Amino acid sequence: MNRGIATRNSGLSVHIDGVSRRYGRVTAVADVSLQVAAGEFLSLLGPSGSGKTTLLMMLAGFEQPDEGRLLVGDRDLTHVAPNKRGIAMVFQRYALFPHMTVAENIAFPLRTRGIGRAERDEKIRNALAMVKLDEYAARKPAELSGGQQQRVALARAIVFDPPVILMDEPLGALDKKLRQHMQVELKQLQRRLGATVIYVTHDQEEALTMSDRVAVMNHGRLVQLGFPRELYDRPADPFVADFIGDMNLLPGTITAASGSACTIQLDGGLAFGIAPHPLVAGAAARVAIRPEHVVLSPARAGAPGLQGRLTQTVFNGGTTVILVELPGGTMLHASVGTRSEQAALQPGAPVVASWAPDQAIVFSGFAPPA
Amino acid sequence: MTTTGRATAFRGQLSLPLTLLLIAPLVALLAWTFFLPIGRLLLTSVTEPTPSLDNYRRLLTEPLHLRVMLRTLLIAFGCTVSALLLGYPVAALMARPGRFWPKLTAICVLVPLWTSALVRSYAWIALIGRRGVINTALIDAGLIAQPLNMLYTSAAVLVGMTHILLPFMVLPIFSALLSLPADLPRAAANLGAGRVRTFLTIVLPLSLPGVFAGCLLVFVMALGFYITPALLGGPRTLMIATLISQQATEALDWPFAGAISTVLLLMSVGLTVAFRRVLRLDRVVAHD
Repeated sequence: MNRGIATRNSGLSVHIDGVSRRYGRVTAVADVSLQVAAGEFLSLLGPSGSGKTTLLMMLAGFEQPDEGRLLVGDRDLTHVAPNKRGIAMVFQRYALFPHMTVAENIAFPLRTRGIGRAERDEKIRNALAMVKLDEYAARKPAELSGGQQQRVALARAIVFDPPVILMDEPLGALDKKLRQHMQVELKQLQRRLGATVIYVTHDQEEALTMSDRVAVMNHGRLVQLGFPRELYDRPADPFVADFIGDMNLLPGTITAASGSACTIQLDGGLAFGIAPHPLVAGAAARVAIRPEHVVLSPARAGAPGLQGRLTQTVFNGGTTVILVELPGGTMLHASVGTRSEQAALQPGAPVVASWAPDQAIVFSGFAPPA
Repeated sequence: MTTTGRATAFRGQLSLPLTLLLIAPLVALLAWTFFLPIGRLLLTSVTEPTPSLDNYRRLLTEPLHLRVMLRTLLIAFGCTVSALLLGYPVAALMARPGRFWPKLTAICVLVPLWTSALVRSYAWIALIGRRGVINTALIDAGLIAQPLNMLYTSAAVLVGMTHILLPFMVLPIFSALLSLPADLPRAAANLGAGRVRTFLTIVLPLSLPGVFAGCLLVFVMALGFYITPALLGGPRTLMIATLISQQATEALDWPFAGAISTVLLLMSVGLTVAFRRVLRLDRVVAHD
């Protein structure tokens, strides 16, 4: 009876094994394999139509994979009905039952499990306390604000101690301030519960902030799986480089390559970078460089780097973004400290842009950014 | 929420005098051709043959007339129940995702609406008459020796009326089911509810406004139904509307016909008001 949800047993691992889902000719999810550790917070990140939601729906049982298997712990859930899976889901628009009070909504999963009244009331109280809505048990969802409805949806999902919680952009409908607040709370709650969370979002900032690991999806494929820092520092392809954080992607031609280090001819001059895959001289390539790694200095004859002209400075608070136009028309963004010397450069000034070679990643080919 | 917002926004666009001016022709037409004659008929019920409530006393004391009213209520109630039981699954099929079945069902529900009730009632006569399709088939198959008496019974009236009134049950329920967010049944399943529990605890309660609207429509229409009971019913299945018609055209007792009409009108209006109370209560509960 005293088994509160705060002391519940930990989550279960999730194993997505070669899962595909097609709608007619469109492949929504293409051969995705993914291991989520017990108690891990994993985000499925991607633009709309990348297959992340379809993957989540298959985990919840609302969609059936055409190929592959889904396992939670040791249990194969591929052909198990949604109501027998025992894993919770938080819906984008909360999906609270409008004709039931907050307490009745939270009681719902307990009733379907045949949990007796006394234990039910205790669990509802605990769940409401966890989301800080103790006073609202008797209200109807329509009488709550968006943020409060969100918490009720969360309470309803955690009240039956699910080993895995699926979340489909649960903070998408909230305003920015509230969303950031809820991100922190959600993360704390997940740590306390120890449940495995699979979190779908198209907001890369949200994914980086909350997740233990992030799985980036594009066109139904799993493009890169890694720790947030990994995705930011070492994106596996131009799509990830472009999707996560701000990134300059500059087209050019390899002039020299030895090992992973290479020299590349860009609009405005020669630059250096590291290639994740071996490249040969003469190949077309793109250089990915973060704005905060670009170093600007007033143009001097013979200075190494890209020659360009400063066109605009954009004040962003602590940082200032400087837009540099290279001779061929390519735009380069540099992010510098607002109090730095670089921020004092005036529009129209000729500048030289450079960076430390190991900060730039060189991708072969001209795969168009998605 | 958005619809009420839009309605309020629209309400401000026409001034009151202009609104009154626009509806004036219709009001005038209805007043001359509908309200005035009806009012006169209803008035004669208390003024003729002498200014008294004798007509109503007669209606409420004669066992024959009481039986007719009771029978009308029972048949209208039976119609409502059978239309609800038959119509709910049809509405559910229409509201399903996908294309083929919802479209086909919608066509099957709507096409009969465009056919006159008279034609459909005659169709029932052709089906269940003494020498109708069903009796002929059963006799030919050797299952019965004598034709079954199906026509001119209460059952015939009930079946015929249910058939004709069914769309008025299906459409409001369909509309209620269609406005039910697909996430809700999914959430219920995710939280461990099977199909039956999901239907009983989520889908059914949230479709009740549609159910109430459908029941009200069917019941009130059934109370005053004339053609079908007149064609499919016999002397022992006399209903209010037929009684009014008999009093007016055969007995030429217009004041008494007026009295019956008044009672029918009061029953219909009373029921509508009572149902609207329930509906409004439910709206507070169901809407998010």
